[in-house]
Amino acid sequence: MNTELYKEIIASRNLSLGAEASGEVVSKYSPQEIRETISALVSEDRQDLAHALAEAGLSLYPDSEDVLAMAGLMAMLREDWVESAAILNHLLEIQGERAPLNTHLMFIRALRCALEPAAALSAVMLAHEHYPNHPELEREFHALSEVLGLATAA
Amino acid sequence: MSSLAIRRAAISAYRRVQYEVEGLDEKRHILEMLLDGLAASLAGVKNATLVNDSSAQDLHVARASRIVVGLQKALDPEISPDLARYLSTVYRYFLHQLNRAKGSRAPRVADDLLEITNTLRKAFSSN
Repeated sequence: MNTELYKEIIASRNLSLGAEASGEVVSKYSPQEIRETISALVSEDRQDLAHALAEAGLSLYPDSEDVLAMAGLMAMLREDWVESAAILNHLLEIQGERAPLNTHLMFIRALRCALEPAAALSAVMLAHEHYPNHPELEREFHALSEVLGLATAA
Repeated sequence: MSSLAIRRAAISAYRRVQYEVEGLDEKRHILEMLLDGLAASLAGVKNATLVNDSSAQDLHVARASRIVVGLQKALDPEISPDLARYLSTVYRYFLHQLNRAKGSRAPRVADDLLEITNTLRKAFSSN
């Protein structure tokens, strides 16, 4: 493999390779900047580019709440429910006890749309522990119970 | 097209960016983010192989491929026809190589593509 040609150019410009010695790749862009750029691309209806940037964000910051929330939303927009559920599940793990209701609701809907009603009902129960008697969770509970053929009190 | 020819195309793109980046200014930060993410996913391919995690390897290869498709869509021949042509050649090579990045061959492919990616990253970020 002859790499001399471009190595010469890099050396002549005193450039170092972007990947650090540890194998980590450092970006000058923060998760917030990536999230805002994805949002701007979506508003310009450039979904393909926004999707690619969400993937880039996940590669750079796999545990960032900003990136996970936006990537989960992007997966929902393109109706990739399995991917969306996987991303939102990871987001819920990261957020733990302080996960907002909206993350729970998005996760429940992703599971429901992925045709996983039993898993969605489990997610409702989990959300209920943190947001007891919330009307949207109640609605999801009754709808999913009906799908699963479980009797619920009206 | 050979690996050497691709490297020459990447260097040509690099030189073009030095002269033509003004017209790319609006898009530059998006390209930089995509290239950073591509480098991270290629590093992920290597790391997954080291720990023998084939599903993580597949995930990172798929992620890298989707980022490259995004980079292809970001090409704008109206800003710089030559740069778009060079980069289009480079990205096609990436997709071809990523398609072959399976099992024990993956780290070598990832190393090769990571070097080219870092050349492009520096081309955009040094202006």
